[in-house]
Amino acid sequence: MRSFLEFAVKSLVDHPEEVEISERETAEAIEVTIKVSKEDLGKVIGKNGRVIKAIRTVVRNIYGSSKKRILISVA
Amino acid sequence: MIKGTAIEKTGRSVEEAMQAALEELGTTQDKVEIEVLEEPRQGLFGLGARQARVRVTRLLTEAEFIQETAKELLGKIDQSLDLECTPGDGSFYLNIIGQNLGRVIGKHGETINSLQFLLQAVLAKKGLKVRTVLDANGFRGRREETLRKTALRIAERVRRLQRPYTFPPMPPMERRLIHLALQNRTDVSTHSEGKEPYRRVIIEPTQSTTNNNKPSIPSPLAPSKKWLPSFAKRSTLPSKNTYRYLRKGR
Repeated sequence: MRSFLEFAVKSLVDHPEEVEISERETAEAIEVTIKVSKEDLGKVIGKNGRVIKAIRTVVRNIYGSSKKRILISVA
Repeated sequence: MIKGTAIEKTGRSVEEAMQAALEELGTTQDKVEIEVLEEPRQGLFGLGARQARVRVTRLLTEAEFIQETAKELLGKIDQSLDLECTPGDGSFYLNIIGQNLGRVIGKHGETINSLQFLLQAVLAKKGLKVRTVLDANGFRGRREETLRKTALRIAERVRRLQRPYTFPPMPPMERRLIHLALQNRTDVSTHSEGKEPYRRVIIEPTQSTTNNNKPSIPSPLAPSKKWLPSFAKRSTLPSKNTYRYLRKGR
């Protein structure tokens, strides 16, 4: 999951060197935080959140399990 | 031509450094751009000697570039996925080949549509605004067929019951297929309502057809819907069940 997110996000932003992805696992969910530089926030989120929505859909359907939700936030 | 990966190499001569770089990239001289960063210098007794340094950049055609980007994106998901690339005029068709692609396609193509969108976004970032279609084992063609059949079946029901039918939200391409499948019909008409991405197709009966099935104002004396036997309810009320229209074997 990490390498997919990293590739997708890094190829969308202007400052790929500032991309940081961290994961935190709790009892009922995996919380993923994508950190990007301030100017790149919009690129990862997209118009009306279309890009982040697509990212979430792919990650949920491909890496998700029925046991744990995957929560992705952009910061 | 689009610039791809670049590497720097050193060698005793420019020629040598270049060969090393080409080998590492696995290409030939005509598909790269070569910059000489430093000429070699002989020096005196090994003093002040300098090696040659070159930067070799791969040059890719649009097609190669799209294919490579798609391969890299999909490779992150599953190494075993293979890609078949067919350039058309002004558009690009990429077909994923492999087994168990259900995971990559997702429910009603949800996953592959998202992947396609991401791929387009990544390509647009590199300045490539080509229409790119991502497919998996010919899923798009099968989906098209399903949608056409569904459109015809629902149109039949709309005509019979003289009641409009609203589809669940669908992407533009799929809505278009419904419109196209029914564009020559006179007994029903289609239009879309709502805002993207929740736009839905609605099939309506055309006014001219005899409306003897359904009084426009329900009579107060008519039994309420609660009192109808279940089979009657089923035949008159359009189901609220989303995606019912896609159920197989009907």
